[in-house]
Amino acid sequence: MNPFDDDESMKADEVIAGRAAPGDESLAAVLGRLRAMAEEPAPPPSPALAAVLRDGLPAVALDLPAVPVGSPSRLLRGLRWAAGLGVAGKILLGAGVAVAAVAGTATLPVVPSAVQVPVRTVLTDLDHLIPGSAGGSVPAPTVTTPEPVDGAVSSEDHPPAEPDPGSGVDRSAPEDVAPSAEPPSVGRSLQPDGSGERSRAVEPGSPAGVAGDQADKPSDIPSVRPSAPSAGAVARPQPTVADQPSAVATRAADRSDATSPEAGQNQD
Amino acid sequence: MLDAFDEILARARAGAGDAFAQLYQDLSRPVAAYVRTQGVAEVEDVTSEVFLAVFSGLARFTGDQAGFRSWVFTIAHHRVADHWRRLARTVPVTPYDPMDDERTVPSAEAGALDVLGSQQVTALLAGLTEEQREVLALRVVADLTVEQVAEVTGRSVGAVKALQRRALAALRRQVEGEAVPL
Repeated sequence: MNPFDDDESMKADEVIAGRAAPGDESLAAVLGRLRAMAEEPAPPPSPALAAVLRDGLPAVALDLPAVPVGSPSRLLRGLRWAAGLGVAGKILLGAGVAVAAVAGTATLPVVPSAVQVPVRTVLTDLDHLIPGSAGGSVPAPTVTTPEPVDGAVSSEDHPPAEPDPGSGVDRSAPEDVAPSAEPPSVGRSLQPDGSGERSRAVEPGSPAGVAGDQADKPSDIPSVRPSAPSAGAVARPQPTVADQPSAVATRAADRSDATSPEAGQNQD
Repeated sequence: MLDAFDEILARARAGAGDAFAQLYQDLSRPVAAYVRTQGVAEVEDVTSEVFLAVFSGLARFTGDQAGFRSWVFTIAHHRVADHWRRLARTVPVTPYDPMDDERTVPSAEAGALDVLGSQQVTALLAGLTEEQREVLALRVVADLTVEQVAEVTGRSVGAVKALQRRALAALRRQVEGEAVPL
């Protein structure tokens, strides 16, 4: 700024301060009117401002701007922490995040089994490749899906829900295991205690098997009963077929002995 | 000027409504005048917005009364800029023409003359550039120093002095050329 500019600035300051030089009376009058505008009544406050002037502001509202601007959020702190990791740490972190994401997606029930099975196979392989991830980040496969692994691994990692030592099913064959959480029906049919659905395991052609099948169909029972029961048979109480299936076969044998062969053929 | 500014400011920071009212009484008129000189039609709304922003942001302010005045006009400066920016997005801005001004004044002759004088001053300021009008209003209406105006507008002190000098020269040309009766 040269001396001329400085002198002009000083003259401008004098005019603005109301000390007008000779010849600047009109300009001084305009500036005086402009200055007087600051003394005019202020417009009425808006309703929001009037409420603040009347009731004040809560301390919470006044403290809000005092929050330090730029305080990192949790996500930002996490990103900064990840950025500060070394190369190996970043690789491990990325691999862990990827495995967790894939594993989480594969466990969704909406994903079809055709997708879940290969993903689980890959995860099982990755479980051995990624250090420190064994038994950790990769969720263990459940019994809901068939697993093409040997029986030793299966018995270690996933004990069966129902121990069935006498089932006789070869668990090393994956195709024999039903793809459901329910134990196979074959195992139940071979229960050694004879309870439950023993009759289902009997040969279908045997009389007991017939009686067992007909126990589920009560309307077919009269077809195996004798059309003309003997007097002895009437004197004895009639057990139902469903209650004692073997007794029907015994009585049928008795009737075949007591009646003529034609009658027995007619019954058949 | 407030005599017990520090005490009033402390009570205003605590949320006291009467302290807000005292600060508003002290600065509402120059702030409204500054908003008016910038050609804003909604003086009431913009002035209220300025003081709402001032009161809700008191926790950020540190300084004395002169600094508080400068800070208030900084907020007013930004609010006026926001107003024009918002208006530019909605409707086209036309220059002020006193012949198109249909505003009326009270019936009292003295009051009418005063208002007409203010309107003519506003018309004269409309002939300045936006920067010149801004600097002149802050220097005269807000009664800020050159350094404070530089702080409010974000310009250097030399730029503010240059704008002030050009504004006075342009105003002098208008007054001498038009012989505005005040």
